[in-house]
Amino acid sequence: MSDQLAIAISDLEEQQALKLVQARLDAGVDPLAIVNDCREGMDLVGKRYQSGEYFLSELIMAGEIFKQANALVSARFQLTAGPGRGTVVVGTVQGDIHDIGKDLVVSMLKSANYVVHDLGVDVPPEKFVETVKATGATVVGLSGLLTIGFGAMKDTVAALAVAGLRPAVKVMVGGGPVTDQVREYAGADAFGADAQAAVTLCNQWTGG
Amino acid sequence: MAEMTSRERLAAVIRCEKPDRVPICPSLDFFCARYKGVVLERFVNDGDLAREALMAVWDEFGGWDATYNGSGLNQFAFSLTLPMRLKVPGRELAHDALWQFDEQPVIEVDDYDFAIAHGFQALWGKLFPKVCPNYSPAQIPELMQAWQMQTVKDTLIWEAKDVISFTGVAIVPPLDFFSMGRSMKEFTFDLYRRPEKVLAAMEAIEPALIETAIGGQMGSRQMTKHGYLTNFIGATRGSATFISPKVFEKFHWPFIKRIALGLLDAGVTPLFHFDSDWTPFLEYFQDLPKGKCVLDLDGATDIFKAKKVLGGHMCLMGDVPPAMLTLGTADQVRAYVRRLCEEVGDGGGYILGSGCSVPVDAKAENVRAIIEAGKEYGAYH
Repeated sequence: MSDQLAIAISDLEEQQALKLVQARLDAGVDPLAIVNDCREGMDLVGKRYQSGEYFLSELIMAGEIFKQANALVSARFQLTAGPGRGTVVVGTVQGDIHDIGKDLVVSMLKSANYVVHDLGVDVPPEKFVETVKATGATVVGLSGLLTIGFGAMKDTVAALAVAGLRPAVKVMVGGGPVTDQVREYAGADAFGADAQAAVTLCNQWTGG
Repeated sequence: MAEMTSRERLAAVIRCEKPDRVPICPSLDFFCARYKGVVLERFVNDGDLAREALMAVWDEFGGWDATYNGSGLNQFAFSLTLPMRLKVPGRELAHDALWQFDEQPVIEVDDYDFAIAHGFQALWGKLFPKVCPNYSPAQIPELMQAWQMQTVKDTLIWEAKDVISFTGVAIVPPLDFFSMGRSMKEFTFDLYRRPEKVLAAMEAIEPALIETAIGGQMGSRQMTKHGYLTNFIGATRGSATFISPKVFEKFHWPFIKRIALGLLDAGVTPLFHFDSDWTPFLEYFQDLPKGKCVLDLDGATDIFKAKKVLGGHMCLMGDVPPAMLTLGTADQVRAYVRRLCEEVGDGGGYILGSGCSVPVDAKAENVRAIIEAGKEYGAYH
């Protein structure tokens, strides 16, 4: 990887990365190329996380730099929202208000070029159903930090089935106490141990 | 081996020695309320009722070696340790809902300078109206006294029953304090944007944390027969789930170490109640004096690896995972407890515990299985 911007993002050099984005915009570089370089940097961040060099705090910081870089580009150009790699609905399940893990999943999926509908926290099953119907999403991510959320995960998967949507969507579950036992209980397709796992799962499912 | 008292048993394992049986000490709080039919709103507002629920479970499940939670929990007590808003049952939440942290920043960027200039007590006072907007600062002395009296009363009542109060006087290392108060996201940005300022603020609040712990422990010892066996040091956000070894070495470990040594100097046993995954950081704990501290893990750290790294050096505690207690079967719990006793308990230096608190919705037979299997498989021959 030789691109300076991608390197700055992957090294979490916030000021340097934003300066490069601004300079390239001023020089008339294609905004999509700029965003792609940012994505390349984020991709390397993900790889470093997987290899154990980076930890959660590096993912959070990288997500913040990516967000700011995107905002700079969007302020200048109306980026036509492409189809992305796929559409994902994400939320913290009913009864649970924790959002750190969920937010990180959203940010990692966005930087991996997914269209993400973030429903926030304490999301009732019917809200997931409505959003999947309205957006045609093919992946649903359910987050929860408390054991009391396990039942809500199960209810949400059941609600998707009742609505006839289950065959068309893959469901992934994650959060502090979530294990494969929880995935089985909830009737989900997969459980992810961290935010990077959410990206890996979506890539598998969407053939990306 | 001759039968030991619970106090002898716990003292032996803290020294990393082999007792007659693995001591047992699960952390039980909201589970007891749900199990005994006490609405959570009342459980967090009525200390006597909370203690009675804990004690009823103790009696019904046949007792164990020490009560992890001697007192109930309330919003004011939490605010003494964590600068974080709580959503409370009966107020923001339904009457029987589990309380939850509401992670909104209560510490602003400028508060690092404030902490550096004025120290912990002033910062705590400044944050209090944001953390507990339902109280007026004028009520603090009265709330403080009521909480202290409650904990003394609870300890005395447990002592009258000849039960050890395992831990009390909770503090968190500076990293957790600022991460919770700033919110994890903002705090993470601060680590990159103003690292030296963060470090200076952490150093500024550290002495008061140590003094608070020692003061609380000495007060408890004066007002009860034994006081608490250990001092609770809670940490999550500086684990390897969240931060890299580089950040850990600069922002977390030096503080943990100094706090532990400060407590040990005063004759207080540190209990590291360390949630999430500490596996990559286990070697650091070899740096602390041998046979003096307890490391309490929640199922996210590989406790079997911890035994390999710290066995014979630091007493380990844990770690029946919350999902197993909620969704698993009693047989699964028994099998896991057996493995814990045989592997982590090998040669002593181990306390059987739950990973963090037993979940509010744990199956009663699974909680009972911890106690019964611990007594059965924990015996040393």
